[in-house]
Amino acid sequence: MNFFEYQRQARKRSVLYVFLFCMAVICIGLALYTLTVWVLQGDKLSLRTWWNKDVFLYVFLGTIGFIGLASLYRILSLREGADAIARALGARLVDPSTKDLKERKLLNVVEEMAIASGCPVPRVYVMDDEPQINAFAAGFSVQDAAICVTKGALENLNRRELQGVIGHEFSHILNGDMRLNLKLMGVLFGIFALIVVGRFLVRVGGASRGRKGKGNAGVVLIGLALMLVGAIGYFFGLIIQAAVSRQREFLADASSVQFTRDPEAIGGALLKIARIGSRVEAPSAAEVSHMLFGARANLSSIFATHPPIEERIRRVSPELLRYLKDENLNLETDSERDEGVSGKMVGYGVVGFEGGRTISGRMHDEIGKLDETSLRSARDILKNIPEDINRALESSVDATFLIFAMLLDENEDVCARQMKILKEMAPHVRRYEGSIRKLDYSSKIALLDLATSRLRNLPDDAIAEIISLAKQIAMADMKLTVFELAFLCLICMRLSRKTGQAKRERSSALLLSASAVLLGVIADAGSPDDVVSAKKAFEHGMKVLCNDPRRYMQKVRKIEDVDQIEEVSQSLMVLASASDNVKAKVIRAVEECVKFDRKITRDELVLLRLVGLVLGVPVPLSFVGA
Amino acid sequence: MVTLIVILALVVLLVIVFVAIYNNLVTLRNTYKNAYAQIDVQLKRRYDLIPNLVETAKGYLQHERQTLEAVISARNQAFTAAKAAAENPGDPKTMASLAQAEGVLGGALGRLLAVVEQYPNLKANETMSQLMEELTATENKIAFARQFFNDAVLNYKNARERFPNNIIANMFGFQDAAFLEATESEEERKAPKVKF
Repeated sequence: MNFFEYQRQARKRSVLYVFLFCMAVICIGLALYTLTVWVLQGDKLSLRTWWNKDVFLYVFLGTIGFIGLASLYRILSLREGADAIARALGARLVDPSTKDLKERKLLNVVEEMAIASGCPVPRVYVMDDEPQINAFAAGFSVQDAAICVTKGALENLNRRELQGVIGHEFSHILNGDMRLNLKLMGVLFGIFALIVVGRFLVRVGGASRGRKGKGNAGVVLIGLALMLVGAIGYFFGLIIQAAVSRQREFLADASSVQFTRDPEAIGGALLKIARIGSRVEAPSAAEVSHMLFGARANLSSIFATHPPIEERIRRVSPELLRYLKDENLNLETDSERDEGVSGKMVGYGVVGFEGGRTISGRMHDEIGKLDETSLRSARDILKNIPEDINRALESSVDATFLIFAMLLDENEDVCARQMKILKEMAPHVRRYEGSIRKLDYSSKIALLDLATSRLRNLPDDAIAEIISLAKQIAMADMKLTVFELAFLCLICMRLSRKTGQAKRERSSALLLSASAVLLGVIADAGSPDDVVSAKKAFEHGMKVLCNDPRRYMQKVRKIEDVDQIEEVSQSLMVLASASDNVKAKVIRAVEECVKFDRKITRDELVLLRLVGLVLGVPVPLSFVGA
Repeated sequence: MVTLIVILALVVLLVIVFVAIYNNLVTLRNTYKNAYAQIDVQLKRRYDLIPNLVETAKGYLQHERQTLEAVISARNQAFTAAKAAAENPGDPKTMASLAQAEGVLGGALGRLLAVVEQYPNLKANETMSQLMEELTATENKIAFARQFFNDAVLNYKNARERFPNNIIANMFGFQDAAFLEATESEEERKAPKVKF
C-alpha cells in the first residue's frame, strides 16, 4: 500500500469512528428515555408501549440539548490560540533571525515542510526542559498555527528525521485534527457533566431524606440513572476518541511520507523515539496529547492516543523494523547520516583480520547490526588511509593504479613478473606500493571498494581491460590466494554493469547452487589442506539451506583456478539480488560453515567480509569472541 | 403539486452540486497556479545566496578555483535565464533554457558541496556551516515546491477528469494541467563526486 492509500484508509476509518461517537451520544439519550418510560409504566414495558412522544420530547431532546450546551461551554473555554497553548506548556518562541545553527535548521525545516504541504509558515516553539523526543502542533486553522518541538528532538534528530516529524505535525494542522479533537473533547465533557449532575441529585436526594426522615426516592433514582448511563457513555466515548486519535496519527504519518517522499525520515524518528522515549513532563501536556508526535505516556491499548510504535514504523517503512528488535543498537549520529557516509561505513565496520579466534555466540544474530564499535573502527579505517592514496582516489586513472598496486606480490621474482605485465604503467603502480603495503587487509578491502566506485563511470571496454589485467597480475605466480579471489570477485562485481539492474532471483535451484559455490570456497578456505573436514564443514553449512547437501558436494573445490573468480562472482551476484529472507539464510549457512571447526581463519574472514560487502550485510567486529 | 415540489427540489439539489463542483475546481486550479509561483520564489532565493557562499568558501578553497568559477558562471546564466523567463512566462523556449541553466547550476552546486566536505577547516567555519544549512534548505525548498506543484496538479487533474466533474470542466474551459518534469540535465545526472 502506498501513502496515498494509507491516507485514504485512515480518513475513512476516522469518519466511521466519528459517526460511532455521535451514535454513542444518541444511545445515551435513548437509554435515559427508555429508563424513564420504564419507571413511568412500571414493569409492563413492551415494544408497543415503548414510544411516548411527550416523554421523548422532554427526556431525549433534553439530554441531547444538555450535552450540547455543556460541550459548547467547554469548547469555548478550551478554544485558545495556538500561542497560548504553546506558552502554557512552557515553550519558547524561536526568534526568526536566530544565529543558533540547530534552531536555524529547525526553522528551515519548518519552512520546507510548509512548502511541501502548501501551508503558510507557522510560528515555531521549543520546549527547553524536555530531554525526550516529541513535538506538537497547535492551532485551529491553517492560518493560526504553531509548531513546537522538544529540546530532545532538536538534539537527537538529524535533518532528515526532523523533516519527518515536522511533516507529521503539518498533517495535523492541514487536516484540522485540532478542531476535530476539540469537538470530541467538548462532547466528552458534556457526557461527563451528566455524571456530575447525577451525583449532585443523589447527594441532594439522600441528604433531604436524612434530614426530613422520609426519602425523596425519585430524585435519588434519577441521579443514579444519570450516573450509570453517563458513566457507560463516558467509557465508550473515551475509547472512541482514542480510536479517532490513532487513525489521525496514521494519517499524519502517511502524510509526512507524502511531504518528504522519504519513508525513512519519519521512520528514523520513530525508531529513535522507541529508543530514547517521547515523555513530556509539562503538567498541561495532557490537553495536547493527541497532537503530540509520540505518545506522552504509556496507556493501555484501547485508551492510547497513539498507535504502538512498531505498527507505525511497519506502515511507513517495514525495513526499519529489524533495527527495532535490537535493544543495543546505537543509531548513527547526525553527522554521519547527514554526510551520507553511513551506508558506506556499514560495509567497513568489520572484523580486524587477526584470525584464529574461536567463535562465541550466534554469529548471524550479530551480523547485520551496527554498533558503536564497528562504526568507530570503520571511521578509523577510513582515517588510516594515507594522504597520497586519498588523493589518488580522486582520479580514475590513479584509482586503477591503486587497484593494481594492491595486487602486487611481496616476493621479488613474482613482483618483477607483475611489472612486466603492467608495462608502461609499472612506475605509476610502484609509486603506491609502499603506502599500500602498510595497510592491513581490512583497510585494503575498504580501499578497493572506494577505488572501484571511482571507476564505475568508465566505458565498458576500459573496464574489461582493467579486469583482465588484474586477473593476469594476480595469477603472475600461478597461484590464486583466497585474498586474490575475494579481491577479484569484488572488482568484477563492483564494476559489472549488470549489478544495478539485476532482477530479483527467485528460482530456488539457482539460489541453492549459487550458495553451494560460495560455501564450497569458504569451506576450502577454512581447512585448505584437509578435504575431508572441508567437506564436513560444507555439509554442515549446506544443511541450513537444503535437505540433501551431498548433492552439491562437487562444489567443494580447492581455490586455484582463474575460472573460479567468474563462478564465485556470478554466484554472489545471484545472491545479491535475492530477497532479504534468502540473504539471511545464506548468512546463517555461511556462519555454520565457518563455525564448524570452532575456528575462524584469516582467509575465512576475508571471504566473510566479501560476502558481507556484496550482500549489503554489515559484519561487525563484535561476533568474534573479542 | 407534489411532482412540482419534487422536481423543484431535484433542480435545487442539482444546482448545489453543480456549484460545489465548480468551486472545488476553481480552488484546485488556483492552488496549483500559486504552487508554480512558489517555485519561482525559491529559485530567486538561491540566486541571492550563492555569491555569499562562494565568497566565504574562496579563502579556503584556493585549489578549487575551477569549481567555484563554475558555480558563479552557472548562477549568472541561470539568473539571466530566469529574468528572460519572467518577462515571457510560458514561452516554451525561455522555459526550456531556464530549466537547462537550472540543471547546470544544480550540478555545479552539488560538486561544490562535495568539495566542501573535503575541507575540515572550511566545514568547521561557522559562517560556512550557516551558509551550507541555508543552501541545503533552499535546495530542499525548491524540490518540495516542485513536489507540491505536482501534487496540486495531480489533485486538479483527478478532480477535472472524474465524472461528473469532467462535464462541468469542459463546459467552463478548465484546461488540462501538465506535471513539471524533473529538469535533470546531463550535468545534474552526474553524481557529485564524494570523497571521504
